[in-house]
Amino acid sequence: MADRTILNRSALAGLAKPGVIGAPTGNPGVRIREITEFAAITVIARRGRAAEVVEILSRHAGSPVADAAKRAGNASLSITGTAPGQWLVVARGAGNELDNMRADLNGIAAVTDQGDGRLIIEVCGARARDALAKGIAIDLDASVFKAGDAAQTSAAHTGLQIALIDEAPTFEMISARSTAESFWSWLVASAAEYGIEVV
Amino acid sequence: MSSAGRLPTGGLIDRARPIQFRFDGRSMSGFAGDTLASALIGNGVGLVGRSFKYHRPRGILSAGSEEPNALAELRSGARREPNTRATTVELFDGLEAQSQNRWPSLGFDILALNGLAGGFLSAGFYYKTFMWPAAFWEKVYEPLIRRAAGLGRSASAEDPDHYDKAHAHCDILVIGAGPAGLMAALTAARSGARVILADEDSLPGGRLNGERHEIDGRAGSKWAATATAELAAMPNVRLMRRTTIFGVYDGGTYGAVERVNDHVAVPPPFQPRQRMWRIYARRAILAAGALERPLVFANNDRPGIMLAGAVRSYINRFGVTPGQRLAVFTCSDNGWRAAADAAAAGVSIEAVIDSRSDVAPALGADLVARGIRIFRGAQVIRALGSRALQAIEVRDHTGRVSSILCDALAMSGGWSPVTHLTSHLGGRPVWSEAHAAFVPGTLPPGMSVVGAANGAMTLARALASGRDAGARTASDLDRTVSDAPLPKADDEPASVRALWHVSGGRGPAFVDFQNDVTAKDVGLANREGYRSVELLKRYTTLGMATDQGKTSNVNALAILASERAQPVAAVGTTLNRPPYTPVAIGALAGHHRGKDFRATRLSPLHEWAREQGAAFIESGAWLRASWFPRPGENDWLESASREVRAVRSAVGLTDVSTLGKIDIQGPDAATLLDRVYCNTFSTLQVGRARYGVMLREDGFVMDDGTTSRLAADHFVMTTTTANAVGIMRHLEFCHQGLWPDLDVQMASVSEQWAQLAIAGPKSRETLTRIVDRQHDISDAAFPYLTAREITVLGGTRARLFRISYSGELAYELAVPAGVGSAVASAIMEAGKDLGIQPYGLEAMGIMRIEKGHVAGNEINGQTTARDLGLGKMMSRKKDYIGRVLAERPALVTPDRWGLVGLKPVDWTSRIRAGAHLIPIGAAATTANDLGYVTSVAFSPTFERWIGLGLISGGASKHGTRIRLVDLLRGTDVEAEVCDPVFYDPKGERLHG
Amino acid sequence: MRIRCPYCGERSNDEFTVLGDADALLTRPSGENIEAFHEYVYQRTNPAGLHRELWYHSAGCRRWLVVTRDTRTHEITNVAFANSRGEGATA
Ligand SMILES: [Zn+2]
Repeated sequence: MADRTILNRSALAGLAKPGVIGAPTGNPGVRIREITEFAAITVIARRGRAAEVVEILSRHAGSPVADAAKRAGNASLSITGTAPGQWLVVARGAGNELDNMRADLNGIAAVTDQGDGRLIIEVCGARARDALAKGIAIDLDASVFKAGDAAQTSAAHTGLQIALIDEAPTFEMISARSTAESFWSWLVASAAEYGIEVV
Repeated sequence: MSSAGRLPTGGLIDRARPIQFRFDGRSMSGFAGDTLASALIGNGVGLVGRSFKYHRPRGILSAGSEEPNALAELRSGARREPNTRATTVELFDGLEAQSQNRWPSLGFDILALNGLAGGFLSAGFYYKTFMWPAAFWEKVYEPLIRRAAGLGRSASAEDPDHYDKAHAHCDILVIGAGPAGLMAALTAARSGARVILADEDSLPGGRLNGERHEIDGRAGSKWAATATAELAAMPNVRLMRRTTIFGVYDGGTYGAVERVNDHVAVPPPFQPRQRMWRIYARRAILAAGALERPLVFANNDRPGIMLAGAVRSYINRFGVTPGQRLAVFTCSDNGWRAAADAAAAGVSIEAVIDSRSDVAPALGADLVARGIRIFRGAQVIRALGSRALQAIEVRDHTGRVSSILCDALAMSGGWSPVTHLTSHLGGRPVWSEAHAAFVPGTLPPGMSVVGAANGAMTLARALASGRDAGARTASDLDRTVSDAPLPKADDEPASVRALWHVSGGRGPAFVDFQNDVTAKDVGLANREGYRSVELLKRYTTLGMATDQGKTSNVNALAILASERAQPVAAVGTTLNRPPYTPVAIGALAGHHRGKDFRATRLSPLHEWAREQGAAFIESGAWLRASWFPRPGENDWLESASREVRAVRSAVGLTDVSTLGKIDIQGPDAATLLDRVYCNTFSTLQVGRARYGVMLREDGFVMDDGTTSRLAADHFVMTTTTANAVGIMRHLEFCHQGLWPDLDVQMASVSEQWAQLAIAGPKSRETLTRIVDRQHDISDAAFPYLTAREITVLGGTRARLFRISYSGELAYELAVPAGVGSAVASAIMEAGKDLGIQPYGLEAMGIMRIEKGHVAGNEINGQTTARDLGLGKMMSRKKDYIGRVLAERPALVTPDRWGLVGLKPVDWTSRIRAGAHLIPIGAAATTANDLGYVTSVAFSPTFERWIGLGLISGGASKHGTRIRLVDLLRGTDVEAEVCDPVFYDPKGERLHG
Repeated sequence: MRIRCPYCGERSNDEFTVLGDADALLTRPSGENIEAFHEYVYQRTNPAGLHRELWYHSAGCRRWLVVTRDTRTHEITNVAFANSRGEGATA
């Protein structure tokens, strides 16, 4: 389905340029990566069909998917609960595996393309929690927000989905395309004192 | 000036690290660990500012954030910062400080002469003096007030520093790192609880650093340092120095400001100056200590008169003394300890005057042995001296008055627990006769109070109460608390017998130093009827401004009580509200200022529009292309007019991506749409689009837009840009709240799709060149109001809608946002030889007025579908939101203001939106007002101004004439009322 | 104020949008009676004490919630999804 022959701009095209910015700490406390190649869909269970949807999603993810604010999946496919009976599925790369999922969900869930409307950033590093706490109100402490946990919230006046991928810690943040530039401005300002490496 | 005040040894300052600074231009030096106040005292500076109203010379009263007098301007240029308390400013190399409120100089102030301002600024001056004559306000009072009253000057340039906001979570927030707070934090943290310990000072320890108590046989300050080190090393503890908890909010939320880099000249690169914290705590332990009260006697504001606890801090912590010959005036035991500390530091003690006649003999034994004069049952009735204290007049227990020479006076009127944070959620402190002070009353949920803040006035009791609260709170949160022994400390008496006001001395006796409110003013207010504490505060300005009455409120209430011949408890107290100490606006804003004031939304076509040279305009959160200037064009109207002509004659391309787009799926999708739109959607064929109008339940129009049916169970709705978020919320309410049984799924796809309008007689020809060949978009195959999924440019997924806002043959093409700019560029390329032009918001606005389409100016929350000429859309065959109340009598009367077109009779006249519609020959009064002009445009198509308006009677007025009167701009234009559709009223061009 | 969303957990009130009296708003009349709709749209009690209110978790899961709040203290005693009429705490 991603048969595009023309230039596809990522949400942060021209902004998230690789390099070191902020305080010259020698060892940047925050590393930021924009995920530019991905496809995404929202899956919303039809009335009374959430259990079946969970089963189908779990099969595709290769691990149990919950009807809760959790992120499941693997390196190429992640499924994150966003509301009761609703999930955001992100396939990194071309996203062809979403076609099968869409077929399996036919009649059981509403599937809607979302990949072009989203910005995906991974933030990791020793000071990632400190930087993110400057805009994100939920408790990101390692004892509370664990790998696989996810939340819908906001940062810098912008809606945000955040999940912890691993205890490195690596956070995945998914936000709207239209506010990507403002979001980036906030993130860089917040992390600058710890040193930033954009990769 | 010599280092007159610096003691040869002692203090917690680092004498190996001298620091240079300037005060009023004079070079001075201090040491690391000094505050600006202690450094000034060390340099023998006693006079540091002039008072707010009377310009009286003032010195340093306190050693903490309660300081009312010693306010200074710090730094210079863009970083200039007024009203900073010298007592809380950590000294740094190169610090520039200026005294405030003096004219022309600190030493010689014209307005202080003969108390020039005195007579006119007494209690209630705001309300009395300026009543008459009115003309005096501008010419006399205001300039004089501006010169006389007021504090420092803020910087006039933009603050170059960055400010942060951050969030923190914990189990237990401990507020204050004095002995009680440290003990509470240690106990809680050792149980494994997540603890935040915040203290406004740079050096944790509280009073331990200013006194000479020992804990476990070591100096109290050393014990504090050890406790702090233990806490700092624990991973479950966040130690926040230089951090003031300034407010308590619902749900265990606390506001704090951390002065990250106030103690350096310029923040290191990329570091914030200050950081505002929101702390979410399951429990809080308030260990904010207590504030000492001044004594109220004549001329008690002379520089050199200082709180006794502050004298102790300056001597013990900072190694400076405010004078060489110190006298003490007290009604509490603390005065005696100040005398003992000063004597131990080698300061000459001239006298100790205690208003109590029965003082514990042990208290003064040392001093008596040294031959120091002791007065019991005596009072200081007046201070002498002007810019510095020179002597005091003492009235002994027999009534005999004598003078004592001294250059400093330590005064202690007892201590007031810092209960401020306990009352931020409405709790009222209660009067305790035993403490002669207000102690915490009802507490915010989850908060406990320990130490002096709770009336535990001795060190041993403070430590014990901290330990107990730490343990109790941790066990409350299911933590296991170990039984560590309580450190051993003195538990010496701390008695007080309140002395509220010393009468009999000549001269003003100040209650509120910062606002220049005297005991006489309090009496005057009471006599004039301002007997409630709330009225007293507002009438006299007592307790206002930067110190919020920290040192004055209790004295004022007690004096008011005595005037009213009532106990203090009956008078009560005003409630404290956030912030506890002033918070810079910059800290409240954090990152969000300038272009980051709020998030800016950029269209997926933004890059394309920029390349096309668009002039952008803020439209809600969006930045939108307003028009596209071309060489030789002088203003927006020329550009927009050219764009309109291009669309009407050839083809134009514009960005409509900002419209709200909602994906609606499910077997009951059509049912939901039928219930939220006033017209019917269940009858819409797959592959077709329909214009829809939504009403609010009160019968007025909420929004409009086009909704298309992509499959039997799949619709895509568009909303107006402004209402995109609100309509999504409304639909979710309708589904989740009203009709949860409907099997409908909704997702916002506003961000997913770029949407381009291609409009004009050559739009189809242009599109044909980019639409993939298998999709037939000829008029026969793709008639007006067709909506279909297609592909463009060799396989790019797209949705094509044949709808028109401009009134021309037109399409809207939706493509995934990532390729939006590329597709727009491809369309521009495809239409180049057909004369394609990009057009912006202005051209769109002109064309919709030419076409009589309503927009936000007409859908203004006060218009019904009928008012807007859309009454025929209201279905009679189904229920929908707003149906019943839209039939209310007042919403269907024939004289309601309905939509019409307006054109000036003299075709060269300009008309203005907002002008009122007044009958010809009638006066331009509200009574004759028949409506108003909602939208106007200069129409390049008709080469004249045209407008839309709402007029009483609506369409029945077509063909009549009316005046468009704009009293604000002074215009009065005669116009003809006409059909709102100026352009192509039969709609033939749509079908072209 | 902190609201414990049944899906998202405890969040500050700035993530939510309030609409008003849940019991009034969730009981839309049927039929043609203007008086009944007038009551539904305009008439509200303003209790000093427990109040069931509709809050929309706009910055979170976008669920409409019925929040039982004491208007005097802001103490919240129950939060449930509106699609179950505020019963229980699950969808
Ligand atoms: Zn939620």
